[in-house]
Amino acid sequence: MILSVRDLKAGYGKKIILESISFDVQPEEIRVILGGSGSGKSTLLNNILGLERARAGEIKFLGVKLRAGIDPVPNSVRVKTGVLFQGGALLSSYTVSQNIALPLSIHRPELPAPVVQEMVAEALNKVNMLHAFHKLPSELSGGMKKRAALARAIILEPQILFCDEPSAGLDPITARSLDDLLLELRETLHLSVIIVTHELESIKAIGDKILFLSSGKVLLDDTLENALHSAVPEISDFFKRIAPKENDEKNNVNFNFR
Amino acid sequence: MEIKLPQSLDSQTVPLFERSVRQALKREQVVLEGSALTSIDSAGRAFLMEASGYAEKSGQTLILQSFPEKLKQELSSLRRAEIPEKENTGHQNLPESLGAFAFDVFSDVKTMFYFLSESIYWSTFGRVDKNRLRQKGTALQLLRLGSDATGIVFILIFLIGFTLSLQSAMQLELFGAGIYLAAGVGFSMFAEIGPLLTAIILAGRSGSSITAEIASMVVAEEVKALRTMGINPIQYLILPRFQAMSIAVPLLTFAASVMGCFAGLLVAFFYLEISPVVFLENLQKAVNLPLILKCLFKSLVFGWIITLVACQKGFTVRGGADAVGSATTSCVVFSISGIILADALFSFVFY
Ligand SMILES: Nc1ncnc2c1ncn2[C@@H]1O[C@H](COP(=O)(O)OP(=O)(O)O)[C@@H](O)[C@H]1O
Ligand SMILES: [Mg+2]
Repeated sequence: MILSVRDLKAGYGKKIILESISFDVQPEEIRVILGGSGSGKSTLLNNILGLERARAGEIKFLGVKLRAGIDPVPNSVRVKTGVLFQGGALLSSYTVSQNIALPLSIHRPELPAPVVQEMVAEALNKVNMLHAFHKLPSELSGGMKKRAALARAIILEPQILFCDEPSAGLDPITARSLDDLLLELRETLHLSVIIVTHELESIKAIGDKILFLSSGKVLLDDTLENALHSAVPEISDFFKRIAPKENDEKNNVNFNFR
Repeated sequence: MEIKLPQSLDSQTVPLFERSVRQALKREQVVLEGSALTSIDSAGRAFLMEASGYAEKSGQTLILQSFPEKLKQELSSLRRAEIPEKENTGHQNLPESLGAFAFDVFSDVKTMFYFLSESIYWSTFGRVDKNRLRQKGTALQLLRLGSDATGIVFILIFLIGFTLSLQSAMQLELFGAGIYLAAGVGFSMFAEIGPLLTAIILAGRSGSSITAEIASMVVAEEVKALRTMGINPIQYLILPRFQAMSIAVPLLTFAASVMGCFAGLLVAFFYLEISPVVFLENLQKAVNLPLILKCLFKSLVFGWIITLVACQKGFTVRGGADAVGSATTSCVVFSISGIILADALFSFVFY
C-alpha cells in the first residue's frame, strides 16, 4: 500500500468540509478523485499532504504511519512525493531550469553542477519543455507552466504524484498530452498518481479507480468501470455532466399563461 | 391592471413599466398582454421572473396573456437563480472588535516570537541539526536588503544631521557655547537619530519588500510547493533574511551615525569656524564605547522587529493580489510602530 487514509476529518475554522474519509491507493494505481466543485477535493489533497491541519484521522504514507494534523510529514516521505499544483506554483524569481533543480539542490546537495544540469535537461525533455530551459515562468503559457511543474515534481523520482486539476484551463490537445505523459511516467517511474480532474476523457483514459466525494463523505470508492455504470443518481448525473443544481425542480417559475 | 407589452421586451422597454407593475402587484392582479410580443431578451426574462416572484410574495396573480407559443415554451423552461443568503460575518460592537483586534495582535506577536526562536535556533545550535537546509541565500539578501539601501540611508541621514547641527549651532552660538556642538550631535546621532532613522528607512524599504515577496509567494501557492518538496519555508525564506538583516542593520546604523556626525563637522567648520581637529576631539569624548554598543544593540533589535513583522505579515496573508498590498501596508505601519515603541523602552532602560 502506497497511501492509506483512515477517517480523515478536515475543515476551515468552524466549518467541517470532510467528515470521515477513508481510502487506499495501491502501487502504480491512478486514483481519480471526483466530486462537485467545492466538495473538498483540494481540501483532501492539502490535508493528506499536511499543508492544512487535519482535525482527526490517520494516514499511512509510504509505510509511515501519521496521526493526521498532529505528526508532520517527514522529509523522507516528502522527497518521495511529487505534487503538481493547479497553477504550477513555479517560483517566479527562478528560471525554469532553476525551479527544477531546486529539489535537487536541497536534497542532493552533493551532486556536482553538471550532473544536475543533465538531470534537469532530461526531466524537461520528458515533458517536452527543453526549449524553455532558460525562460522565466512569467514567459510561459498555462500548459507550459504545468508541464514544467510536472518536471519539477518528478525530478526526485517520487513514488506518488498528486495532481490537482492538472488540465484545468488547458486546451483539449494539451490536456490529452498531459494524460499520455502521466501514463508514460507511471510506466517508467512506477508511480502511483492521485489526481483531481473533471475531464471525462481524462478520467476514462487514465483512471484505474475512482473516489467520489459528496457532502464530506465518500460516496463511491470503486473501479472506473463500476463508477461509470453506477446506479447512484448523483454519480450517474455527474457523469452525464449535468450539474445537479440546474436540474432542480424546486426553483421552477410557474407563469400563469392564458 | 392590464398592460400591453410592446413588440420586444428588452432592456429598453422594461424600465418603462417595471415600476408600475411592481406597485400594482401589491394590490391587484396584473395581466401582461403579449400578443404583439416577438422577442424577449435577458432583461425581459429577468423582469418576468422578478414580477412572478413578487406576485408570489404578495399573494396576487400575474397573468401572461396570449403570449406566442414559442415564447411560452422558452419561459416555461426558466429556473429562478436563487441568490444565497449572505453568510453572517457577525456585526461587531466596539468591545468585541477591540477584543478581536487585541487577539489578532497577540497571535501576530506569537507568530513573530516563533519565527524569532526558529531563526535563532537555525543560526546557532541548529547548524549541526540533520534537518538543516543548506541554503546559500544570506549573501544575496545582504546585498538586496542591506547594501542596496546604503545610498538612501546616507543621503537622508546627512540631510537630517546637517539641519539638526545647523539649528543647534545657531542656538549654541547665542550663548557662545558653539564648542559643545560636537558632543550634542555625536550623542544624538549614536543614541537616537542614527538607529531610529535607519530602522525607519529600512522598514519602509527592505521590510516592505520582504512582505511583498513572501506574500506573493504565499498567494501563488509557491510556499505550499516548497513544503511539498520538503523545503522548510522558515529556513528557506525567513532565515536568510533574518541573518542578512541582523548583520546589515547594525552596520548601516553605525555608518549612518558616522555620516550624521560628518554633517555636524561641516556645519562646525563652515558656520562656527571650529577646526575639524577640535570637533573630532570633542566628539571622541561624547561618543564612547558603551554608547556605540548600545547603538548597535538597539539597531539589532530594530532589525529583528522589521524582519519578523515583515515575515509574519507575508506568511499570514490570505486572499489574492489585494491582500498582498494590504499586507505590505500593514507591515510598514506595524514595524514602524514597533520600532518607535521599542525605542521608547530603550530610552527608559539605557539613558
Ligand atoms: N482557505 C479556505 N478557507 C475557508 N474555506 C475554504 C478554504 N479553501 C476552501 N474552502 C471551502 O472549502 C470547501 C471545499 O473547497 P475545495 O476543497 O477547494 O473544493 P474543490 O473540491 O472544488 O477542490 C469550499 O466550500 C470552499 O469554500
Ligand atoms: Mg479544487
